[in-house]
Amino acid sequence: MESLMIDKTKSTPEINFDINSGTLWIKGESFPENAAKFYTPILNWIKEYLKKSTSEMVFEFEIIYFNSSTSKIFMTLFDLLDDEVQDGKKVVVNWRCDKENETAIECGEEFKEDLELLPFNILLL
Amino acid sequence: MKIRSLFKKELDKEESKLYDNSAIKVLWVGCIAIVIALLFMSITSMLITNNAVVEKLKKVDLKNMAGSIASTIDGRVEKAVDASLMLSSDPMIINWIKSSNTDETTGKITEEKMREMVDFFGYDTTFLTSAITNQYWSYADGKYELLDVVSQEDPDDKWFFDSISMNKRYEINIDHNKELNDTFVWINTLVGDVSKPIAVTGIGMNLDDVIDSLIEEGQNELENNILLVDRSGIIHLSKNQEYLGKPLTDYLPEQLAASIIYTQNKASSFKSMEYTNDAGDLYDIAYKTIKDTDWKLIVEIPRSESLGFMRTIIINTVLACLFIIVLMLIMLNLLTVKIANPYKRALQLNQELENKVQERTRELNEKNNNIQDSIEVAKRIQENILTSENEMEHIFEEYFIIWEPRDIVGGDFYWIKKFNDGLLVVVGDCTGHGVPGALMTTAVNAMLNHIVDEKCHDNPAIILQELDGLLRQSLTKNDAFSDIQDGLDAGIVYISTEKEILFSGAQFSLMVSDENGVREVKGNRNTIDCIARNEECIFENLIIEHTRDMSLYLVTDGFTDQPGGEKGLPYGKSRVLSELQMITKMKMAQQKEKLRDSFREYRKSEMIRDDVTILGFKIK
Repeated sequence: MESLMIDKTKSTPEINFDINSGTLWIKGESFPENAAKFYTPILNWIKEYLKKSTSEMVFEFEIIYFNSSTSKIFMTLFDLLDDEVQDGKKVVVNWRCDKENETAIECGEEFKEDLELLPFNILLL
Repeated sequence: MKIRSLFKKELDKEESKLYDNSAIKVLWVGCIAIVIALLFMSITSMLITNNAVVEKLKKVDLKNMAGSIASTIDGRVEKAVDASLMLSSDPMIINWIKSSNTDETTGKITEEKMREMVDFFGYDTTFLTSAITNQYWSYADGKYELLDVVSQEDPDDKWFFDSISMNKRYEINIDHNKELNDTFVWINTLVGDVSKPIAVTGIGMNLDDVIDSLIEEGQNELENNILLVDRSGIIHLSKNQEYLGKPLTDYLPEQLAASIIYTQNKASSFKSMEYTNDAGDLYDIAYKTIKDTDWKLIVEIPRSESLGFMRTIIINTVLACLFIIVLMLIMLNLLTVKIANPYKRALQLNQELENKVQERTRELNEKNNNIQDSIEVAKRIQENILTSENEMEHIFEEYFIIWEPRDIVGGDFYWIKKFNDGLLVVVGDCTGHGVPGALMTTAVNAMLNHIVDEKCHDNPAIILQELDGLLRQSLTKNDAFSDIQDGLDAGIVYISTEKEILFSGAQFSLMVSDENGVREVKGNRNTIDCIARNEECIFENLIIEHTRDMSLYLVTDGFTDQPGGEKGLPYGKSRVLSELQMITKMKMAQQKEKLRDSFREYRKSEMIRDDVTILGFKIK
């Protein structure tokens, strides 16, 4: 598999998954007109990767603003990762947000509440 | 299409004109410049060469030529003089004369000597005329005979008596015989004492042969003419037969002819002149007196002839000019094919592309206008679905509504209905914005109407639950993305006539402002989406205690999450709360303006991310 790299645009974040380090960075803002269209290939890629890889995965989220459809997709992803952890995979999510960004912090907290096993760290910057 | 091709033709014309005006002009200017330079050079060099050649012709060539001709003639004459002197001083001949032509021995020797002169030395005639006997002996054409006995009475014999008394050793006479068309040079030499001569002897020599050979020689070189003119200016020898016997003045300007005839220059030196004849041809002329005579030898060369090589220069120049023009034409052709054409082609392509772009832009504008129009219509429809200001004024005692879709239509909506037993207020934010969001709002609007009519209108939690159920039924069909579903966030408030206030929110908060200040009442965390969860969404009703002059606010996340400020972070709920705290005592209309101002000031240049809706109303 090749590393996944998508440059940021005005309405979509930068996606950078380096398979060597097993770290996925999602950084920027996310409010695409069609969130499903943007994220489906990324979710498929992640699913594919999870099937093949056994090493630890780290998800680094640094999202300043995201719309509700993005938020639903993130929740879908976290549910998926939660299931993976349940199956014994090592996955960590670092939810990075500015300490003044209460919206992001609150969202992170809500995501965390819904998860059972997936380690979800809210890191204030 | 027709118009376009017409336009294209026009364009082609334009371009070829453009091409003509620049490239061809430059080429022609270059071509003409080179030709002019070449002509200038040729003319200059021709003039220089011409001057040099004419100078040389006059000073050297003509004199050399005339000199060689003259020296040939002079040489022949001198030799003839020598031969004559030899005859006149021969003692045998003198003895024979003294014997009155009677001594046979000396007579035989004299005959031998005279025969020798003709047969061996090539003279035409030898003669001997005795002053003693007046016998005129001659040897010519192999015949030795006594031709005549001269007498003073015979005018034909005048020459003899003139010679006898000439008082010098010899005399040269040139004599033209019209009948024979011959020119003879006679060398008359006195025998014996010059003051008392006993006889005249000498040689006759036909000069025609000499001049003919000279003329023949000259013919190979130049178109010259050699003239022999006597003291009266009559032409005796000429290449041109017409000239013979005619005066020189017939052919040369009078002044020039006179100066030639009367000049007594030394035999050795040539004079050169030039003249233009009646036909306008320029001639160079050289002349001199023939030695010991007053005859004149004239050599004449047409300038055009001597400068004949100039014609070659002119021809070469013309050829060079033609060559350059041909070369230029070839270059022009190359330029057209190799250089100009790609350029022309590029221009054409560019124009074609521009036309296409214009066409597309026009099409896009048309489509955009159509879409814009249809969205404008959609906006009217959406506004009609939303509760009208008129209705709201009847329902609320005091309120304000901010409804600003990011695009023309949006996913935010508000829905307010008054019942006999109370008032139901709904503010929602459907997933997405623009047209998809607006479509959702119409569906939700219909569902709400259905629920309040058919199910219940006084229980917000149940209404949310019903909404969830209906959406799930209608929107999960045919969805390609099983993971990702549409839905909505919504806050519902029911206020009974007894002022019991119930709130239920799906990912939605209610901002409550009362005497304790402004606070957020959070609804349920879960949103109304269509994710096929196994468990049903459970929504709760929250009871809001009624106080006097309280205000309620329903704010969509388009307002709270709008990035802005120094760091580009979202506006945030606490900012909403503190803003409301500041303005809550104001009139609702004023609060609306304050909130809008605050929003605008916070976001600065950041683009609006989402639809924005705030409904604020007071409860007495």
